[in-house]
Amino acid sequence: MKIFGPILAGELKAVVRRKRTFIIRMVYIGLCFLVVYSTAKNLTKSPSFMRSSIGIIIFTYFALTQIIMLLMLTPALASGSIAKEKEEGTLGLLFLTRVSPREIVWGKFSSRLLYVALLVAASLPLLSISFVFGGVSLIQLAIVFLLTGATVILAGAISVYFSTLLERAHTATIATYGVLFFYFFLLPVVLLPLLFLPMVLGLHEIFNYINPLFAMSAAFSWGMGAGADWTMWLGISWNIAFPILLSVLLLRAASRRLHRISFLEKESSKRWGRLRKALVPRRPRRLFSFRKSKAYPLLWRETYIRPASRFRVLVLVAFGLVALCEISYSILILAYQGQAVLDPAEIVGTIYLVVFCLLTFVFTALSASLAFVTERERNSWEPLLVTPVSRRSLVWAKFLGTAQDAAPFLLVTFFHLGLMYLAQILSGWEFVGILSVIMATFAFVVALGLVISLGSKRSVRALAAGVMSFLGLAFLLPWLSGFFEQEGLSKVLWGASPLYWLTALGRLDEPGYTWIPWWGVYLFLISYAVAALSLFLFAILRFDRLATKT
Amino acid sequence: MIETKGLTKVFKNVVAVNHLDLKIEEGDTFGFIGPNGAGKTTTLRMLATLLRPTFGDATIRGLSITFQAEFVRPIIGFMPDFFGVYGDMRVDEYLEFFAACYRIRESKRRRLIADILELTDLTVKQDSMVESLSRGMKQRLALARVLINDPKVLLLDEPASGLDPRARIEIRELLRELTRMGKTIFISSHILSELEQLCNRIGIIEKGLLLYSGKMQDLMQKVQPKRTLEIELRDGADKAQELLQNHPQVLSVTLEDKRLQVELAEGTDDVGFVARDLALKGFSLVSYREKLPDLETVFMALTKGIVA
Repeated sequence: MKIFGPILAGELKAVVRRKRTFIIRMVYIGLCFLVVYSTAKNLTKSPSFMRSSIGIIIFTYFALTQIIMLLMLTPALASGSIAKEKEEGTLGLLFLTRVSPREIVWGKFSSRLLYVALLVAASLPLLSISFVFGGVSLIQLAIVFLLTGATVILAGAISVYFSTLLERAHTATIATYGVLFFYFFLLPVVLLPLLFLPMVLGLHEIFNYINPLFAMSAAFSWGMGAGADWTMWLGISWNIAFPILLSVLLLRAASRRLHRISFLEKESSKRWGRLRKALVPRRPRRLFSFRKSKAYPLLWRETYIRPASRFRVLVLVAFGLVALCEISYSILILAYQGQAVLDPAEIVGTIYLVVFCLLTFVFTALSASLAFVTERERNSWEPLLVTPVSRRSLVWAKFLGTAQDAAPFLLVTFFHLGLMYLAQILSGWEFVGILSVIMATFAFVVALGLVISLGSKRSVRALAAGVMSFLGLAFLLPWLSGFFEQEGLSKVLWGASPLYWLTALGRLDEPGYTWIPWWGVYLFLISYAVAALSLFLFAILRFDRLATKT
Repeated sequence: MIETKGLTKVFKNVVAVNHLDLKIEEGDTFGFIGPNGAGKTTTLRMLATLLRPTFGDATIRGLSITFQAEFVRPIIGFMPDFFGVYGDMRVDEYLEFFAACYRIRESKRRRLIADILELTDLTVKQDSMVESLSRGMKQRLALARVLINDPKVLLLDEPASGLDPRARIEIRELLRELTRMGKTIFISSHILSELEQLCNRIGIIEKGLLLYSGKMQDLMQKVQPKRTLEIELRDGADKAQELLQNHPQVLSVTLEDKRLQVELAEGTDDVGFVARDLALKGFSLVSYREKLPDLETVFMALTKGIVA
């Protein structure tokens, strides 16, 4: 098979030349360095740690950071590879040459994979720090790199597959992240109640085989003194072999699909089209009706026309997910009802709540950050600006469009919250408190996304900025608190994260459980509401300046 | 060279191309014109093997576009109506990339690319990034890409669209050069004056139906069967008008700005008798020419602006 042909050579040239490549490499190495440095600094300060433990902990943190970053980076690099050619119309030109569809698929895949391999190689000197402290065996190193490699290969293959399947680069990126998010994060979450069921059933063993992250954590615990049994080895082997096998199958499917497109064997799948039509009506029911509003044409497009196809996919995803989670959760509630000690229903319920909220906010950020920039990309922006529709109406319409996009996930979150309240896991005011945190964060994320979208020129950049801003707020702030020794500053950083309040609110009535005072929640709500309002006002008042930025 | 037989493309309920029958000989420059949405691009994409016909078939050098697409592709060069260039490559890299895709041996590539760059006047730009090129330059680069596999047939979709007059003239000259090199060119364009100067055969399509296909001169005659002369005299134009009106082969004579428009009867082959008669009567001629309809007039006369 010829994979090192002109596609690979051309791609490598282009990739190396991009400014983005350099920035990604610097950010990647910088983050790896930060993780290694902060871990080493914290551990060496504490006299209770043995040198060998320090080594394995640094290694663990490094390996986990690396695999998570690569999981986030690989789709960003690979999912547009073929879809972008489709968007720009160059794929047809490639079909006319003697390059085979298989060569295109493998060329694109291997070029992106080589770039990721380069990133991994560049971070190797940092890993050597853990060897200075000792405690990490070569077998563990090999296991971690094999699992990381298999994960990256799978992420790359899924990216290229969606890139072949879908017409737009950003749709392929979103679909890839969705699948990876499900495989690496949601699947364990859905199966979480199994961990709390009696051990004799042996169902908890399933976690060894779910995905490479769990196999990797087994390898770490082995390094920290836990025994290595056959299930661990089987889990590791499975998580190396399965992703690679799946990747080969996906790339084969991608090549076949490209071959079909290339030789026009089948233009579209009528079978799937019929199934889709049967499942959901062509246009969703309108959630809002604004016939009397001055901005009616825009609102009508935002809430009725635009999301027609996307809306039904979202409804299916959100409600499919909640159905999967809530069935197992209900069993858990019933199994442990009335037991006071460390109620698993409370733990799993809170984890589910956080997951649903995360999904809602990430999706809201995604939808809001695309709101204006896609108009700009479609060249429909300037014609819209010269209409008599006011700037306030434009922002309002986009806000409602985003709200409608996020509505399925919001409803799912509220449903879960209601279930927790009915099962008496949450008290009345805890329920109201969490609901307020969700709404304040939602308003803030929408406002932030709209401002980002208004000032952006490229949808991919706006999308990355919107999602990363929220994730930074949720995860980066609590993580940064570790760098500051002042307790007050640490508390502020923790308290600014909505995730803290989502997990802590259920425990505020338990003395000594949370370390930020109860009035912190009011501060959080007020500051988020004020910030959201300010951002909306900023978007309206500075609309023309941001919207006409060239 | 190119022959289509009942070529039809249906998109859901829209018939984009309806039973198209065309025949283009080797070395012809065939201009394909029609209003927006007439089916020009669909036809070109079908001929380029990038779109499968719903019914019918076409052959290029005897090879079927439906059943022998893999053999058709190496002998054609297709230029779509968008740029289709990679912005993050240099001009020479872009051509080298496509040369490699066409499996042209590395030893031959350099020479070939240099020749094509020279032909398309891009040698000075070979180190420039593709994204930094002007619209006209990008179009020339796209044309250079089309030539990389030395195709016998060029399928060009709106090659001069959106270009300034200078760039348009440059592209036209380049296409003339390619015609001289013996390439068969199938070109669609909205700029009818371009096609008029470039093509020897023409096809007019509207609503997916072919209204006319054949030689340019035959088309002119078809649209304007009665020949018209435009005569300018030094003086006595009104007397000359009276004189010519009595001639049996003259249908009508009109006087505009001292110029006589003489409409001749259908089937008149000899147009010199008017000049002879005027000279014999002592009129002094300043100019004397046959008024031919331009392609725009022909186009407006044949089409109705209906979209498929």
